Amino acid sequence: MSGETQNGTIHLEIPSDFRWLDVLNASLMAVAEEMQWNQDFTNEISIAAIEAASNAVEHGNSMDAAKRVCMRIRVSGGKFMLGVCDDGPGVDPSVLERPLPGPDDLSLRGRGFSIMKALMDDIRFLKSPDGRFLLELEKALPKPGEAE
Amino acid sequence: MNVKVREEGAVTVLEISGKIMGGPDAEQFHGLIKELLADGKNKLLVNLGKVNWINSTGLGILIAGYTSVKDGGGQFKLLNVSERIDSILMVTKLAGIFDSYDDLKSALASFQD
Repeated sequence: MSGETQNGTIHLEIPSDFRWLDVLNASLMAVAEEMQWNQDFTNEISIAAIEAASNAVEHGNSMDAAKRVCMRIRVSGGKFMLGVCDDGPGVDPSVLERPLPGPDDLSLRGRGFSIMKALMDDIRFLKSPDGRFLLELEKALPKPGEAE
Repeated sequence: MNVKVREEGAVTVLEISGKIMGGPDAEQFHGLIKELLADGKNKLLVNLGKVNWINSTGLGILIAGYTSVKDGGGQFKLLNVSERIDSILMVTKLAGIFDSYDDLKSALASFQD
């Protein structure tokens, strides 16, 4: 185990359909097992990844299964990084400043980025090399022996 | 998302399996809740034991169900919330909204007339 995804980045591409998100999750689980990450860390990146990818399917690609969602998983420099790209217009960065609805606010939406923000260390809005919207999530790896 | 409905005395148990992700799931679940309420079934126990995962939109589906049932004078409770779903409820500060149970017997006993 090197603690890094050797030879660079793991790339995945799925049709914009929720049922293919299993592929992302299975890939993350395989990486987590290989890296021997603890359950809490694995759970947190998995929840954030599913949130990011389902956003791409639902909002970025408007549930159009003919469109593709690309994902790249990279572990390097003591950090886990996940990129998710879609064909949408992108996200207003101010969404990251939006406070989480309070416990008495039963709004049906508006929690997705709060979940990602709470579980990850950094969120960036970028453009992929082919000009698509790219959401990048980053989280420091758990220290060896860190309690679950 | 798949939903199977069964009766446990006065309580209607909704056995959900798969993913709660939004899209058509929202209309399906909302329609089911409306039907149940129209039939006078307003004590609902939602079993999440076979749910692989939920995202923020899926959370909205549960919130909508909770609100509809509560507004209809009923009770909406959760059964078998996984560690993963519990993490999401904690992060979103919604853990206190939903009355949740780990076993069917306790859940059924908690419903009031």
